[in-house]
Amino acid sequence: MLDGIEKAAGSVEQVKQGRSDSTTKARFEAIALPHLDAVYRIAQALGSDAAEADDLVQETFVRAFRAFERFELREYGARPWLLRILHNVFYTMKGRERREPTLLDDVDFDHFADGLNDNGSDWSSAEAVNWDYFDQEVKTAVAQLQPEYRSVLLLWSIEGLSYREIAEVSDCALGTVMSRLFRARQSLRRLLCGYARERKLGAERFH
Amino acid sequence: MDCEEFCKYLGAFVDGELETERNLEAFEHVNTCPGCAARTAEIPALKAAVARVFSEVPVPQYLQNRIGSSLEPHVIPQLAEPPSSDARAARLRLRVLAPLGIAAAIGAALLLWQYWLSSGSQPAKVIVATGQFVTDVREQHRLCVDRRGLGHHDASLPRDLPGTARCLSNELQLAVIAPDLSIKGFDLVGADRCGIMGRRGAHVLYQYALTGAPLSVFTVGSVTELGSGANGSTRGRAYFVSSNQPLCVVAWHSGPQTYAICGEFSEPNLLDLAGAVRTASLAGPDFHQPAGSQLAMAR
Repeated sequence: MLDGIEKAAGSVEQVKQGRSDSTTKARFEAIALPHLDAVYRIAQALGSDAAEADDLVQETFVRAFRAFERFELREYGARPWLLRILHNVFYTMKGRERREPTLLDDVDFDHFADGLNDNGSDWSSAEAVNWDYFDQEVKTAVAQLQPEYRSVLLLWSIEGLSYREIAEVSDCALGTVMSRLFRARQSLRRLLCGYARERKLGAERFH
Repeated sequence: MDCEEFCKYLGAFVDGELETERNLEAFEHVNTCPGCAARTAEIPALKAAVARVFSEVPVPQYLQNRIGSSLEPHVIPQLAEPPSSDARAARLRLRVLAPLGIAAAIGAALLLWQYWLSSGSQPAKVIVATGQFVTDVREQHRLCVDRRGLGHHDASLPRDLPGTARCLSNELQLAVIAPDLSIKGFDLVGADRCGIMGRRGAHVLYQYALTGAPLSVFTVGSVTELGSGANGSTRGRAYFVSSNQPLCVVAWHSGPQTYAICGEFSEPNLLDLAGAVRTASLAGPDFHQPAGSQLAMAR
Protein backbone atom coordinates (compact mmCIF):
# COMPACT_ATOMS: atom_id res chain seq x y z
CA MET A 1 0.00 0.00 0.00
CA LEU A 2 2.71 2.43 1.10
CA ASP A 3 4.78 1.32 -1.86
CA GLY A 4 1.91 2.16 -4.13
CA ILE A 5 1.50 5.59 -2.60
CA GLU A 6 5.22 6.29 -2.88
CA LYS A 7 5.24 5.17 -6.49
CA ALA A 8 2.22 7.33 -7.22
CA ALA A 9 3.87 10.30 -5.53
CA GLY A 10 7.02 9.63 -7.49
CA SER A 11 5.03 9.54 -10.70
CA VAL A 12 3.35 12.84 -9.88
CA GLU A 13 6.77 14.38 -9.21
CA GLN A 14 8.03 13.00 -12.50
CA VAL A 15 5.06 14.42 -14.35
CA LYS A 16 5.56 17.79 -12.64
CA GLN A 17 9.26 17.67 -13.44
CA GLY A 18 8.47 16.78 -17.04
CA ARG A 19 6.05 19.71 -17.31
CA SER A 20 8.57 22.01 -15.71
CA ASP A 21 11.27 20.81 -18.13
CA SER A 22 9.07 21.36 -21.12
CA THR A 23 8.00 24.81 -19.89
CA THR A 24 11.59 25.82 -19.27
CA LYS A 25 12.61 24.52 -22.67
CA ALA A 26 9.78 26.40 -24.36
CA ARG A 27 10.74 29.63 -22.55
CA PHE A 28 14.38 29.13 -23.38
CA GLU A 29 13.61 28.49 -27.03
CA ALA A 30 11.46 31.61 -27.19
CA ILE A 31 14.08 33.85 -25.56
CA ALA A 32 17.41 32.40 -26.67
CA LEU A 33 16.93 30.74 -30.04
CA PRO A 34 16.10 34.01 -31.89
CA HIS A 35 19.74 34.94 -31.21
CA LEU A 36 21.14 31.78 -32.77
CA ASP A 37 22.12 33.75 -35.88
CA ALA A 38 24.13 36.24 -33.85
CA VAL A 39 25.90 33.55 -31.86
CA TYR A 40 26.62 31.57 -35.00
CA ARG A 41 28.10 34.57 -36.79
CA ILE A 42 30.49 35.33 -33.98
CA ALA A 43 31.33 31.65 -33.52
CA GLN A 44 32.13 31.38 -37.22
CA ALA A 45 34.63 34.16 -36.86
CA LEU A 46 36.10 32.86 -33.61
CA GLY A 47 36.37 29.18 -34.52
CA SER A 48 39.29 27.94 -36.53
CA ASP A 49 36.95 25.96 -38.82
CA ALA A 50 33.28 25.27 -39.35
CA ALA A 51 33.22 22.19 -37.13
CA GLU A 52 34.72 24.15 -34.24
CA ALA A 53 32.21 26.94 -34.79
CA ASP A 54 29.38 24.38 -34.65
CA ASP A 55 30.75 22.98 -31.40
CA LEU A 56 31.05 26.48 -29.94
CA VAL A 57 27.44 27.26 -30.77
CA GLN A 58 26.10 23.99 -29.44
CA GLU A 59 28.06 24.22 -26.20
CA THR A 60 26.96 27.83 -25.76
CA PHE A 61 23.31 26.91 -25.99
CA VAL A 62 23.67 23.88 -23.77
CA ARG A 63 25.39 25.95 -21.08
CA ALA A 64 22.85 28.72 -21.50
CA PHE A 65 20.03 26.23 -21.09
CA ARG A 66 21.58 24.83 -17.94
CA ALA A 67 21.92 28.33 -16.49
CA PHE A 68 18.60 29.56 -17.77
CA GLU A 69 16.79 29.33 -14.42
CA ARG A 70 19.27 31.84 -13.02
CA PHE A 71 19.08 34.15 -16.02
CA GLU A 72 17.53 37.54 -15.31
CA LEU A 73 16.42 39.17 -18.53
CA ARG A 74 15.92 42.60 -17.04
CA GLU A 75 19.45 42.70 -15.75
CA TYR A 76 21.19 41.36 -18.83
CA GLY A 77 19.75 41.15 -22.33
CA ALA A 78 19.54 37.71 -23.91
CA ARG A 79 21.97 38.44 -26.73
CA PRO A 80 24.83 39.85 -24.61
CA TRP A 81 24.24 37.00 -22.16
CA LEU A 82 24.59 34.38 -24.90
CA LEU A 83 27.58 36.13 -26.41
CA ARG A 84 29.25 36.23 -23.03
CA ILE A 85 28.72 32.49 -22.66
CA LEU A 86 30.09 31.98 -26.17
CA HIS A 87 33.14 34.01 -25.21
CA ASN A 88 33.69 31.88 -22.10
CA VAL A 89 33.15 28.65 -24.04
CA PHE A 90 35.66 29.78 -26.62
CA TYR A 91 38.39 30.43 -24.09
CA THR A 92 37.56 27.25 -22.20
CA MET A 93 37.80 25.24 -25.41
CA LYS A 94 41.06 26.89 -26.26
CA GLY A 95 42.31 25.91 -22.84
CA ARG A 96 43.37 29.44 -22.11
CA GLU A 97 43.84 30.37 -18.55
CA ARG A 98 41.91 33.32 -17.31
CA ARG A 99 43.93 36.29 -18.37
CA GLU A 100 45.28 38.50 -15.70
CA PRO A 101 44.43 42.19 -15.96
CA THR A 102 46.95 43.92 -18.16
CA LEU A 103 48.24 47.43 -17.88
CA LEU A 104 45.76 48.41 -20.53
CA ASP A 105 42.94 47.34 -18.23
CA ASP A 106 44.01 50.02 -15.82
CA VAL A 107 44.11 52.92 -18.22
CA ASP A 108 41.63 55.72 -17.86
CA PHE A 109 38.57 55.66 -20.03
CA ASP A 110 39.89 58.64 -21.89
CA HIS A 111 43.52 57.59 -22.30
CA PHE A 112 43.17 54.22 -23.99
CA ALA A 113 45.27 55.27 -26.95
CA ASP A 114 48.26 56.46 -24.95
CA GLY A 115 51.35 54.49 -25.82
CA LEU A 116 50.02 53.44 -29.19
CA ASN A 117 52.10 55.94 -31.11
CA ASP A 118 54.29 53.19 -32.48
CA ASN A 119 51.60 52.00 -34.82
CA GLY A 120 49.34 54.98 -34.72
CA SER A 121 50.52 56.46 -37.95
CA ASP A 122 48.26 54.30 -40.10
CA TRP A 123 45.15 56.29 -39.37
CA SER A 124 46.97 59.54 -39.92
CA SER A 125 48.36 58.43 -43.27
CA ALA A 126 47.06 60.24 -46.28
CA GLU A 127 45.53 57.16 -47.91
CA ALA A 128 41.87 56.30 -47.73
CA VAL A 129 40.70 52.72 -48.09
CA ASN A 130 37.61 51.94 -50.09
CA TRP A 131 36.32 49.04 -48.04
CA ASP A 132 33.73 48.07 -50.61
CA TYR A 133 36.36 46.49 -52.86
CA PHE A 134 37.74 43.99 -50.42
CA ASP A 135 35.16 41.57 -49.03
CA GLN A 136 37.40 38.52 -49.27
CA GLU A 137 40.42 40.43 -48.05
CA VAL A 138 38.44 41.76 -45.09
CA LYS A 139 37.52 38.20 -44.21
CA THR A 140 41.14 37.09 -44.46
CA ALA A 141 42.38 40.06 -42.47
CA VAL A 142 39.85 39.49 -39.69
CA ALA A 143 40.87 35.83 -39.54
CA GLN A 144 44.49 36.92 -39.02
CA LEU A 145 43.65 38.95 -35.92
CA GLN A 146 44.29 37.55 -32.47
CA PRO A 147 41.05 36.10 -31.04
CA GLU A 148 40.81 38.87 -28.43
CA TYR A 149 40.91 41.54 -31.12
CA ARG A 150 38.72 39.60 -33.52
CA SER A 151 36.06 39.08 -30.89
CA VAL A 152 35.89 42.77 -29.96
CA LEU A 153 35.86 43.86 -33.59
CA LEU A 154 32.99 41.52 -34.46
CA LEU A 155 30.91 42.44 -31.42
CA TRP A 156 31.28 46.06 -32.45
CA SER A 157 30.71 45.67 -36.18
CA ILE A 158 28.27 42.78 -36.54
CA GLU A 159 26.31 42.99 -33.35
CA GLY A 160 26.53 46.75 -32.96
CA LEU A 161 27.23 46.56 -29.23
CA SER A 162 28.38 49.63 -27.34
CA TYR A 163 31.85 49.63 -25.81
CA ARG A 164 30.37 49.06 -22.38
CA GLU A 165 28.36 46.07 -23.62
CA ILE A 166 31.45 44.65 -25.30
CA ALA A 167 33.33 45.04 -22.03
CA GLU A 168 30.60 43.09 -20.23
CA VAL A 169 30.51 40.36 -22.85
CA SER A 170 34.29 40.08 -22.96
CA ASP A 171 34.65 40.46 -19.21
CA CYS A 172 37.32 43.13 -19.49
CA ALA A 173 37.74 46.84 -18.78
CA LEU A 174 36.38 49.57 -21.01
CA GLY A 175 39.88 50.85 -21.75
CA THR A 176 40.83 47.37 -22.91
CA VAL A 177 37.90 47.30 -25.30
CA MET A 178 38.89 50.66 -26.75
CA SER A 179 42.49 49.63 -27.07
CA ARG A 180 41.67 46.32 -28.73
CA LEU A 181 39.21 47.91 -31.07
CA PHE A 182 41.74 50.57 -32.01
CA ARG A 183 44.40 47.96 -32.74
CA ALA A 184 42.01 45.69 -34.61
CA ARG A 185 40.82 48.47 -36.89
CA GLN A 186 44.37 49.62 -37.35
CA SER A 187 45.52 46.12 -38.37
CA LEU A 188 42.68 45.77 -40.81
CA ARG A 189 43.41 49.13 -42.32
CA ARG A 190 47.10 48.37 -42.66
CA LEU A 191 46.37 45.12 -44.50
CA LEU A 192 43.74 46.67 -46.70
CA CYS A 193 45.99 49.61 -47.58
CA GLY A 194 48.53 47.06 -48.76
CA TYR A 195 45.95 45.35 -50.96
CA ALA A 196 44.79 48.71 -52.29
CA ARG A 197 48.31 49.72 -53.21
CA GLU A 198 48.89 46.37 -54.95
CA ARG A 199 45.77 46.76 -57.03
CA LYS A 200 45.86 50.53 -57.34
CA LEU A 201 42.37 50.76 -55.88
CA GLY A 202 40.81 53.20 -53.48
CA ALA A 203 43.80 55.52 -53.57
CA GLU A 204 41.90 58.62 -52.57
CA ARG A 205 43.98 61.00 -50.55
CA PHE A 206 43.04 63.09 -47.59
CA HIS A 207 44.12 66.68 -47.62
CA MET B 1 44.06 68.55 -30.61
CA ASP B 2 46.20 67.93 -33.68
CA CYS B 3 45.65 65.43 -36.50
CA GLU B 4 47.85 62.72 -35.00
CA GLU B 5 46.05 62.85 -31.68
CA PHE B 6 42.69 62.97 -33.39
CA CYS B 7 43.52 59.77 -35.28
CA LYS B 8 43.98 57.97 -31.97
CA TYR B 9 40.46 58.90 -30.98
CA LEU B 10 38.91 58.63 -34.41
CA GLY B 11 37.01 55.36 -33.87
CA ALA B 12 35.80 56.20 -30.40
CA PHE B 13 34.78 59.68 -31.58
CA VAL B 14 32.73 58.32 -34.48
CA ASP B 15 31.16 55.73 -32.20
CA GLY B 16 30.18 58.46 -29.74
CA GLU B 17 32.13 56.76 -26.98
CA LEU B 18 34.47 59.58 -25.95
CA GLU B 19 34.22 61.38 -22.67
CA THR B 20 32.55 64.79 -23.02
CA GLU B 21 35.62 67.02 -22.82
CA ARG B 22 37.66 64.91 -25.23
CA ASN B 23 34.67 64.68 -27.51
CA LEU B 24 34.44 68.46 -27.70
CA GLU B 25 38.13 68.74 -28.56
CA ALA B 26 37.74 66.15 -31.31
CA PHE B 27 34.64 67.87 -32.60
CA GLU B 28 36.42 71.22 -32.80
CA HIS B 29 39.32 69.63 -34.66
CA VAL B 30 37.02 67.97 -37.21
CA ASN B 31 35.34 71.29 -37.88
CA THR B 32 38.63 72.88 -38.76
CA CYS B 33 40.36 70.00 -40.56
CA PRO B 34 38.80 68.70 -43.80
CA GLY B 35 41.25 65.78 -43.93
CA CYS B 36 40.21 64.40 -40.55
CA ALA B 37 36.56 65.12 -41.33
CA ALA B 38 36.96 62.87 -44.39
CA ARG B 39 38.66 60.19 -42.27
CA THR B 40 35.57 59.86 -40.09
CA ALA B 41 33.74 58.22 -43.00
CA GLU B 42 36.14 55.28 -42.90
CA ILE B 43 34.98 53.95 -39.55
CA PRO B 44 31.35 53.28 -40.56
CA ALA B 45 32.63 51.95 -43.93
CA LEU B 46 34.90 49.49 -42.15
CA LYS B 47 32.09 48.51 -39.80
CA ALA B 48 29.71 47.93 -42.70
CA ALA B 49 32.31 45.90 -44.62
CA VAL B 50 32.97 43.54 -41.71
CA ALA B 51 29.26 43.21 -40.97
CA ARG B 52 28.52 42.48 -44.63
CA VAL B 53 31.22 39.83 -44.92
CA PHE B 54 30.20 37.95 -41.78
CA SER B 55 26.45 38.42 -41.93
CA GLU B 56 26.00 36.35 -45.06
CA VAL B 57 26.38 33.02 -43.30
CA PRO B 58 23.00 31.42 -42.55
CA VAL B 59 22.75 28.91 -39.72
CA PRO B 60 22.67 25.47 -41.36
CA GLN B 61 19.63 23.31 -40.71
CA TYR B 62 21.68 20.46 -39.29
CA LEU B 63 23.09 22.76 -36.60
CA GLN B 64 19.63 23.97 -35.66
CA ASN B 65 18.53 20.33 -35.35
CA ARG B 66 21.64 19.49 -33.36
CA ILE B 67 21.00 22.30 -30.89
CA GLY B 68 17.33 21.35 -30.63
CA SER B 69 18.17 17.77 -29.76
CA SER B 70 20.93 18.78 -27.34
CA LEU B 71 18.40 20.77 -25.30
CA GLU B 72 16.37 17.69 -24.48
CA PRO B 73 16.37 17.27 -20.69
CA HIS B 74 17.85 13.76 -20.84
CA VAL B 75 20.83 15.01 -22.82
CA ILE B 76 21.75 17.90 -20.55
CA PRO B 77 23.06 15.92 -17.56
CA GLN B 78 25.50 14.10 -19.84
CA LEU B 79 26.92 17.42 -20.94
CA ALA B 80 26.89 18.89 -17.48
CA GLU B 81 30.11 17.35 -16.23
CA PRO B 82 32.25 20.00 -14.59
CA PRO B 83 35.43 20.78 -16.49
CA SER B 84 38.66 19.45 -15.08
CA SER B 85 40.54 21.92 -12.95
CA ASP B 86 43.75 20.94 -14.66
CA ALA B 87 43.23 21.84 -18.29
CA ARG B 88 46.68 20.69 -19.34
CA ALA B 89 46.21 17.24 -17.83
CA ALA B 90 42.80 17.04 -19.46
CA ARG B 91 44.30 17.84 -22.84
CA LEU B 92 46.98 15.21 -22.32
CA ARG B 93 44.38 12.63 -21.34
CA LEU B 94 42.36 13.60 -24.40
CA ARG B 95 45.34 13.08 -26.67
CA VAL B 96 45.99 9.64 -25.24
CA LEU B 97 42.42 8.50 -24.85
CA ALA B 98 40.88 9.96 -27.98
CA PRO B 99 42.51 7.48 -30.41
CA LEU B 100 41.59 4.60 -28.09
CA GLY B 101 38.06 5.90 -27.86
CA ILE B 102 37.76 6.22 -31.61
CA ALA B 103 39.15 2.71 -32.09
CA ALA B 104 36.73 1.36 -29.50
CA ALA B 105 33.82 3.20 -31.13
CA ILE B 106 34.71 1.81 -34.56
CA GLY B 107 35.04 -1.69 -33.11
CA ALA B 108 31.71 -1.39 -31.34
CA ALA B 109 30.11 -0.06 -34.51
CA LEU B 110 31.44 -3.05 -36.46
CA LEU B 111 30.17 -5.49 -33.86
CA LEU B 112 26.79 -3.81 -33.79
CA TRP B 113 26.70 -3.80 -37.53
CA GLN B 114 27.46 -7.51 -37.75
CA TYR B 115 24.93 -8.24 -35.02
CA TRP B 116 22.37 -6.16 -36.80
CA LEU B 117 23.08 -7.83 -40.11
CA SER B 118 22.98 -11.31 -38.64
CA SER B 119 19.97 -10.81 -36.37
CA GLY B 120 17.98 -8.64 -38.77
CA SER B 121 14.25 -8.29 -38.44
CA GLN B 122 13.07 -11.81 -38.99
CA PRO B 123 15.28 -12.57 -41.99
CA ALA B 124 13.48 -14.65 -44.48
CA LYS B 125 16.22 -15.26 -46.96
CA VAL B 126 19.92 -15.09 -47.49
CA ILE B 127 20.88 -13.39 -50.67
CA VAL B 128 24.29 -13.04 -52.14
CA ALA B 129 25.47 -9.72 -53.50
CA THR B 130 27.98 -10.59 -56.14
CA GLY B 131 30.88 -8.51 -57.22
CA GLN B 132 28.86 -7.44 -60.22
CA PHE B 133 26.13 -6.08 -57.98
CA VAL B 134 28.58 -4.04 -55.95
CA THR B 135 30.21 -2.76 -59.12
CA ASP B 136 26.83 -1.73 -60.44
CA VAL B 137 25.97 0.18 -57.29
CA ARG B 138 29.30 1.91 -57.39
CA GLU B 139 28.89 2.85 -61.03
CA GLN B 140 25.37 4.14 -60.54
CA HIS B 141 26.48 6.23 -57.57
CA ARG B 142 29.43 7.63 -59.49
CA LEU B 143 27.28 8.30 -62.56
CA CYS B 144 24.83 10.36 -60.56
CA VAL B 145 27.51 12.23 -58.62
CA ASP B 146 30.10 12.80 -61.31
CA ARG B 147 28.34 12.95 -64.64
CA ARG B 148 24.97 14.32 -63.68
CA GLY B 149 26.31 16.46 -60.89
CA LEU B 150 25.22 16.87 -57.32
CA GLY B 151 22.25 18.88 -58.48
CA HIS B 152 20.76 15.64 -59.79
CA HIS B 153 17.06 15.96 -59.15
CA ASP B 154 13.93 15.22 -61.09
CA ALA B 155 12.06 18.52 -61.35
CA SER B 156 8.72 16.75 -60.95
CA LEU B 157 9.64 15.70 -57.40
CA PRO B 158 9.33 18.01 -54.38
CA ARG B 159 12.55 19.43 -52.99
CA ASP B 160 11.87 18.19 -49.47
CA LEU B 161 12.62 14.71 -48.18
CA PRO B 162 9.15 13.69 -46.95
CA GLY B 163 7.52 14.97 -50.14
CA THR B 164 10.07 13.25 -52.36
CA ALA B 165 9.74 9.96 -50.47
CA ARG B 166 5.95 10.13 -50.67
CA CYS B 167 5.92 10.79 -54.42
CA LEU B 168 8.47 8.11 -55.22
CA SER B 169 6.76 5.58 -52.93
CA ASN B 170 3.42 6.12 -54.64
CA GLU B 171 4.90 5.96 -58.09
CA LEU B 172 7.17 2.96 -57.55
CA GLN B 173 4.81 1.16 -55.18
CA LEU B 174 7.46 0.54 -52.57
CA ALA B 175 8.40 2.13 -49.28
CA VAL B 176 11.16 4.47 -50.39
CA ILE B 177 13.80 5.09 -47.76
CA ALA B 178 14.72 8.75 -47.46
CA PRO B 179 15.75 9.52 -43.88
CA ASP B 180 16.47 13.00 -42.61
CA LEU B 181 20.24 12.98 -42.14
CA SER B 182 20.56 16.71 -41.50
CA ILE B 183 21.54 16.13 -37.89
CA LYS B 184 24.69 14.52 -39.27
CA GLY B 185 25.19 17.38 -41.69
CA PHE B 186 23.88 15.65 -44.82
CA ASP B 187 21.36 17.60 -46.86
CA LEU B 188 19.22 16.41 -49.76
CA VAL B 189 20.73 17.42 -53.09
CA GLY B 190 18.55 15.41 -55.42
CA ALA B 191 16.28 12.43 -55.94
CA ASP B 192 15.45 10.43 -59.03
CA ARG B 193 14.39 6.98 -60.22
CA CYS B 194 17.87 5.58 -60.71
CA GLY B 195 17.57 1.85 -60.25
CA ILE B 196 20.30 -0.72 -59.88
CA MET B 197 21.06 -3.52 -62.30
CA GLY B 198 18.04 -2.68 -64.36
CA ARG B 199 15.66 -2.76 -61.41
CA ARG B 200 13.38 0.19 -60.91
CA GLY B 201 14.15 2.04 -57.78
CA ALA B 202 14.56 5.33 -56.03
CA HIS B 203 17.83 7.14 -55.56
CA VAL B 204 18.10 9.82 -52.90
CA LEU B 205 21.38 11.68 -53.01
CA TYR B 206 22.74 13.57 -50.00
CA GLN B 207 25.78 15.75 -49.54
CA TYR B 208 27.74 16.59 -46.41
CA ALA B 209 27.60 20.36 -46.10
CA LEU B 210 31.17 20.90 -44.97
CA THR B 211 33.19 18.69 -47.28
CA GLY B 212 30.76 18.03 -50.12
CA ALA B 213 31.03 14.26 -49.56
CA PRO B 214 28.13 12.54 -51.34
CA LEU B 215 26.06 9.68 -49.94
CA SER B 216 23.50 7.71 -51.94
CA VAL B 217 20.50 5.83 -50.59
CA PHE B 218 18.86 3.56 -53.15
CA THR B 219 15.61 1.69 -52.57
CA VAL B 220 14.74 -1.18 -54.88
CA GLY B 221 11.87 -3.66 -54.71
CA SER B 222 12.09 -7.01 -52.97
CA VAL B 223 14.82 -9.18 -54.39
CA THR B 224 15.70 -12.84 -54.46
CA GLU B 225 19.17 -12.49 -55.84
CA LEU B 226 21.58 -9.72 -56.48
CA GLY B 227 23.22 -10.41 -59.76
CA SER B 228 25.65 -12.98 -60.88
CA GLY B 229 29.19 -12.71 -62.03
CA ALA B 230 30.28 -12.54 -65.61
CA ASN B 231 30.70 -16.32 -65.69
CA GLY B 232 27.56 -17.06 -63.73
CA SER B 233 29.57 -16.98 -60.54
CA THR B 234 27.60 -16.33 -57.38
CA ARG B 235 30.61 -15.53 -55.27
CA GLY B 236 30.09 -12.47 -53.18
CA ARG B 237 28.90 -11.25 -49.83
CA ALA B 238 25.87 -12.80 -48.15
CA TYR B 239 23.13 -10.53 -46.86
CA PHE B 240 20.14 -11.52 -44.77
CA VAL B 241 17.06 -9.80 -46.08
CA SER B 242 13.32 -10.36 -46.03
CA SER B 243 12.22 -11.27 -49.50
CA ASN B 244 9.02 -9.25 -49.11
CA GLN B 245 10.75 -6.04 -48.05
CA PRO B 246 12.29 -3.36 -50.24
CA LEU B 247 16.03 -3.45 -50.27
CA CYS B 248 18.04 -0.44 -49.20
CA VAL B 249 21.46 0.10 -50.73
CA VAL B 250 23.78 2.80 -49.49
CA ALA B 251 26.86 4.01 -51.31
CA TRP B 252 29.41 6.61 -50.39
CA HIS B 253 32.92 7.83 -51.14
CA SER B 254 35.89 7.81 -48.89
CA GLY B 255 39.02 9.10 -50.51
CA PRO B 256 39.43 7.39 -53.87
CA GLN B 257 37.26 4.42 -52.84
CA THR B 258 33.55 3.95 -53.32
CA TYR B 259 31.76 1.75 -50.82
CA ALA B 260 28.37 0.07 -50.95
CA ILE B 261 26.31 -1.87 -48.49
CA CYS B 262 22.79 -3.29 -48.59
CA GLY B 263 20.30 -4.62 -46.12
CA GLU B 264 17.25 -3.54 -44.18
CA PHE B 265 18.26 -0.21 -42.76
CA SER B 266 16.42 1.52 -39.99
CA GLU B 267 16.78 5.26 -39.61
CA PRO B 268 19.19 4.97 -36.64
CA ASN B 269 21.34 2.61 -38.73
CA LEU B 270 21.48 5.13 -41.52
CA LEU B 271 22.25 7.96 -39.11
CA ASP B 272 25.13 5.94 -37.67
CA LEU B 273 26.39 5.23 -41.15
CA ALA B 274 26.13 8.89 -42.12
CA GLY B 275 28.09 9.78 -38.99
CA ALA B 276 30.85 7.34 -40.00
CA VAL B 277 30.94 8.74 -43.53
CA ARG B 278 31.13 12.25 -42.13
CA THR B 279 34.03 11.28 -39.88
CA ALA B 280 35.83 9.67 -42.80
CA SER B 281 35.20 12.71 -44.93
CA LEU B 282 36.53 15.12 -42.31
CA ALA B 283 39.56 12.93 -41.65
CA GLY B 284 40.67 13.46 -45.22
CA PRO B 285 41.78 11.20 -48.00
CA ASP B 286 44.01 9.06 -45.78
CA PHE B 287 41.08 7.73 -43.82
CA HIS B 288 39.65 4.82 -45.75
CA GLN B 289 37.99 2.68 -43.11
CA PRO B 290 34.68 4.12 -41.92
CA ALA B 291 32.54 1.87 -39.73
CA GLY B 292 31.15 -0.94 -41.84
CA SER B 293 33.61 -0.51 -44.64
CA GLN B 294 35.10 -3.97 -44.17
CA LEU B 295 31.68 -5.38 -44.77
CA ALA B 296 30.99 -3.19 -47.67
CA MET B 297 34.05 -2.33 -49.66
CA ALA B 298 33.36 -2.31 -53.34
CA ARG B 299 36.16 -3.99 -55.24
